[in-house]
Order: sequence, then structure tokens, then C-alpha cells
Amino acid sequence: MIGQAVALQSDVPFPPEVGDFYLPSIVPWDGLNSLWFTKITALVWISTAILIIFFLTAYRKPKMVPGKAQWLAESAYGFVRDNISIEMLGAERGLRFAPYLASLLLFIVFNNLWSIVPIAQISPNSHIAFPAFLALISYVLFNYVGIKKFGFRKYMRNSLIPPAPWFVLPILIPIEFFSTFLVRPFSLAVRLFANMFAGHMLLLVFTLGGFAILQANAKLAAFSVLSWLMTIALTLLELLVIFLQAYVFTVLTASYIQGAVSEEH
Amino acid sequence: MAGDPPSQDPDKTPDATPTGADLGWTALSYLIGGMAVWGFIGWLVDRWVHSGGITTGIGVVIGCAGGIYLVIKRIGAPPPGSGSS
Amino acid sequence: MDIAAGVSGSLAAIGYGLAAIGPGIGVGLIFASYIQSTARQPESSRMTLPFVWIGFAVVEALALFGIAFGFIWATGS
Repeated sequence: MIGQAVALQSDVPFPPEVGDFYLPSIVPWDGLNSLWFTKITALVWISTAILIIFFLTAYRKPKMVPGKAQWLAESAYGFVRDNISIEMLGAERGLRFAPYLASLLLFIVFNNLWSIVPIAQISPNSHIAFPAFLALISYVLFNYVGIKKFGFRKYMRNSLIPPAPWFVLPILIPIEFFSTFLVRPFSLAVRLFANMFAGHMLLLVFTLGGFAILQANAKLAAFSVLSWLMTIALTLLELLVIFLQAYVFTVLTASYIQGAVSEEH
Repeated sequence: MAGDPPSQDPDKTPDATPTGADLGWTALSYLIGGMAVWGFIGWLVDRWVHSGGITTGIGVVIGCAGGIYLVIKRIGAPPPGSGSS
Repeated sequence: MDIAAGVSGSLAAIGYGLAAIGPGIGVGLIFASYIQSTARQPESSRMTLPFVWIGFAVVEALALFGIAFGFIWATGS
């Protein structure tokens, strides 16, 4: 297996390394096939399946007085539609983008939730590929919406030329270009990735550290328990971070769409 | 929320969410982006004229000034007396 | 007997650590005053928010200078 760290004198792989994030294949294939079907792939499939099946069955026979599943689905969708989409994009455009933003938020939340569920315990978003593609989709989306509304030249003029006197524009335009077209997708992806990666790493350090302390010197068991109590506290923190990062990703996507279609100056 | 009137113009919704977090990230990205872009240009000029780091520093300062100017122009308040929000 | 006492390691790191004190306090003051003013008069929050970002940008510029010049002026060791 790639990346087994050198342990102290014991079998506990401590400290955890980046290589520990590369999981082995679930099915014992070899060659290149042994790289793609890991626990991460299975978790992404399961969360997608949960989302699709839940929303399909919750709306199977919608009633005026909703049952539990329908109420849950309506609450989740209504939260995104009212507080994120319509608030940032206005009534009519907000309704158009609400399905995508709701899917985005719930997909990120369900993927992130695996990082605190036992047995799974790693979020697929701690591999840069998944946040990178979500950020790429958001990037293409807000540029496409802006170009479709204004045409390419006017959209570029709106987003690159700030309201400033003409002689300082050469200093400002590279900054605007860098900030709007390079930093935005990169920071969307890296913010989500780094939070999930660091959270998983922290949980690994405190969990494996407890075991490593025990195996190194059994009389220090009190510190092991302390380490495991920190793990519990960090799991609660991770729960907060999961929802917060999904919310921030969705809000920023909505804000970029709003910025792309707004008439500046 | 429940009692809010819908926005007048579909494209003029205010940019500040109740948390304003997206404005914060924009401000930070203008600052860091300004320093990065002009620091990089300054570094290229440095390698061209072999000035030992001075032009890199000048580029960083110019970029920082540009970033602050952009933050003020894009996110800052219009001067008082030009109409209420 | 000559005993030479010195600090080995990166001076740039120490410099950055000292340089980050001021902006840290400054950003805290800005947001503290925004929260206080919003608590006293909530209707003013939308009007004062742009000033928060202007102040934040100017104060944070110094902290970012600290990072950037830490690399530019690093002499190694």
C-alpha cells in the first residue's frame, strides 16, 4: 500500500501522511484498474444515489399537508431557494438557478458528511479532483451567464474595467483579471479541499496519536484518553465545518453569478 | 425573508449578503491578487535588470496600492451626498 | 572564555511575527467597532459596511507586506 508511514516502534502508522489519503482499491484488480475504484469512488456513488432517490421518492405524491419526507425535502430546497438564490439573484433569476444551487449544496454536504460517519470517515472532497470540478462548473456557469447576457466584449469590459481615471487603469486591469478569472475558481476549489483535508488530518492525528501513546508506553494511558476526547471535540467542529463550507461554496457561486449579470457603474 | 418585498430591478440586488462574507473574500483576493500579479511582474523586471530585489519590492507595493484602490472603488461607499442607498 | 550567544534560524520569520501584531489588532478593532455600531443602531449596518472593507483592505495590506517582504528579504539560515 502506498504511503505507510514509519511508526515509532509499533504498528500504529503515526504520524499520518499525505500518502494515507491514497486508499487501496476495493476490488482486487491490478494494473491501472487498481487506482480508480476505491472507497472514495464508492462514497461518491452512494451519496449521489441517496440524493436522487430521496428527492424522487419525497415528491412521488405531493400533498398539501406534507408528510415527513416531503417536508424535509421542501425545507432543504426552500432554504437554498429563499435564503441564497432569491436573496442574491432576485426573484426571477433566483428561481431559475435554485435547482442547481440546491443540488450543489446538498451534494457537497452529503459528500462532506462521510468524513464523520464511522467506517467511511473520509470525505471525497479531501481529494482535490472533486472540489476542482465543482469549481470548474461554477466558473463556466458564471462566465456563460454573463456572456450570454452582455455579449463577450461588453462582459469583458464590465468585469475588467473598474470605475477609475484612465491613467491608473493599466495598473488595475491585470489585478482585476487575476482576481476575477484566476483566483475565483482556484480559491473555491482550494477552500473546500483544504478544509476537508485538514479536518481529516486532524482527526487522524488525534486518533492515531492516542494509539501511538498507548503502544509506546502503556503507563501514559491518561494522555491517550485526552487525545481521544480531543477527537470527539474535533468531530463536532468538523460537523460545523461541513455545513459551513458547503454553504460558503454555494453562496459564493450565487454571488459570482450575480456579479456577472449586474450592470456595474 | 418572509416579509421582504421582491427586489425592484432583477439585476440590481445588493451585493451584501447578511454576512457579507463574499465581499470579504473579494477584498482579500484583490489585495493578494494585486500583490501577486505586480510582484511577479516586478520579479520579471528584476531578473531583466539584475537589481537584486528592489524592483520586486516596488512591484509588490504598486500591486498593493492598486488592490486597495480597487477595493475602495468596487466595494467602498460612494461619497456622501450622492443619494441614499 | 568567549561565549557567543546568538539566534540561529530565520530572522525573516521573527520579523513577520512582529509585523503581524499590528494588523491583527487593527482588523480586530475594525470589526469590533462595526459590530458595536450595528448593535447600537441596526439600520446603519448597510451604510457602514463598505467602510469596513476599506479599512480592512488598508490594514491587511501591511500584514500582506509582512509576508511578501519576509520572502524578499530572507537571507537564508
